[in-house]
Amino acid sequence: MPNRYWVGGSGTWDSSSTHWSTSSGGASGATPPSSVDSAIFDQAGTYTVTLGATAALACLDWTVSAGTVTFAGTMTSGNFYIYGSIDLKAGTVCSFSIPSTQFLIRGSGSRTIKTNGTAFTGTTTLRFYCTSSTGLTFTLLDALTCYAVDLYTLSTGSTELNLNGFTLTTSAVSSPSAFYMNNNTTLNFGTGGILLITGNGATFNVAPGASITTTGTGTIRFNNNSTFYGQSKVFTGVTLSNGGSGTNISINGSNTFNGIENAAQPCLFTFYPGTTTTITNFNVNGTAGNLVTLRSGSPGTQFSIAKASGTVTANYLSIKDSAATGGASWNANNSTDAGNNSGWTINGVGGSVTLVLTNTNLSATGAVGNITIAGDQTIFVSNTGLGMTGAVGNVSLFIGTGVIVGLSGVSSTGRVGSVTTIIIQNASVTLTGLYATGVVSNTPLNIWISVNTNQTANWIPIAT
Amino acid sequence: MVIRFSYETEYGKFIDALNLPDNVVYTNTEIEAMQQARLDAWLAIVSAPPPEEV
Repeated sequence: MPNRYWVGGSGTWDSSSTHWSTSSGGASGATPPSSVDSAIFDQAGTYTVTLGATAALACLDWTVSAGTVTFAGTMTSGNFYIYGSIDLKAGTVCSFSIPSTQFLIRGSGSRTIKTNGTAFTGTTTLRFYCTSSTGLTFTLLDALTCYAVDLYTLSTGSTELNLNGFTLTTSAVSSPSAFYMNNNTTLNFGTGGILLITGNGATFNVAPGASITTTGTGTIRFNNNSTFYGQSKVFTGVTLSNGGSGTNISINGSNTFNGIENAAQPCLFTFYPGTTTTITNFNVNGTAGNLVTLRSGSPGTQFSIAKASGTVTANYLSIKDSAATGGASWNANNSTDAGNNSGWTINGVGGSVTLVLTNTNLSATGAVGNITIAGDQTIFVSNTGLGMTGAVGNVSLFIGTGVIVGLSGVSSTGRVGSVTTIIIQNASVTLTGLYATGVVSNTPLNIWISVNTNQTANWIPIAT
Repeated sequence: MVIRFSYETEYGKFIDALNLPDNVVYTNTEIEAMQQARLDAWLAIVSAPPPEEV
């Protein structure tokens, strides 16, 4: 393959450029690289290569192996085609901006991209574009940070972008798409790859009617208000993650994911009305005072979330217009039922109770959160009048050596969380009079326990 | 020599690699500094306000 070497320091890369040589450090005057010539920047020093505003640029491989090179410029028309691999030396700056769809990494075969920490900071979309029936696979050799990415296929063949387990970060806002998949394209996450979309108003788009594939296991995470236009596809191995505090992720289409999660709270998931989002793992939880909100895009019209089996136990959600389906058991504790829900068991938001042992007459008319009695001391809570008309959270007893504990008179008309007793040794625990008219979670009491029969029919059997 | 590394951050997990020449020996301190520099550069981008739409 013929090569073209940039010489002579700073200059403009266009059809009339005089900075090209046929040898490293050789005489200038060679024609600029074409689709079969690699463009190599291997000269020492610091210089800037400005992309011609209306140039038609091309090269096979694009390699920076020495020096400190800045690629700059704003193309107003023209294009920049790369037919090979990209290998950029650490310290390279890519701040150029090219109109959307005009920076094409195209061709066929297996290619790689190694940025060595170089981010594409201009508003340039990297379009990976198969132009042959043999297909194009582009594999990341390290993290890639850019404005936006398109996956395209001309007509036959297919285009695959393999994240290879690395983080691909895109920053585009509403237009163009932060990530776009056209027909016959594959996003391969490798093992644990991450597509991080940071723009406010960003979109992940699948072309209508397109055949797309996801492989490997990875995460699509949105750190800002964004919309996922999945076109009702199956996103195998993909976990959709809401990563920003206060962020609204709108999910459009009846898509299938490996999982859905939030990495920050509060946040909002908005589902397109009438759609069904099918998942295997539902890891959506808020915290006290920072609820995760599930809403329909059209208030009053339900959306569905489906999980085939198992039990979902979420916490601190606000749910409205949601149909939980698919066969799994759907529970939301410490959560708000904002109406028009089905399939959920939603238990009220718990507050907090500070239990002062010398003041045993404790009652609440609202929901009650966790009750924790801790300490390596003798604790005897008896006839306390613990009575709640709302839900009761977990009751935890952490009991030290030689402790004698009695807990009685705890009642609730709502749900009671789990009662966990951790006994070190030589402890004696009597739990009596614990009853509820709602559902009671598992109570893992194994030793030195006597349980009063003062229970309603709604008790879940206690392990003994 | 390829050294994969990752950091958990508030902006998500950053997974990257150092692709280093085989004929150069680096100390652990140098490698850690390069990894930290990669992370710092990435954090500067992801924590910055998003660019204006074009």
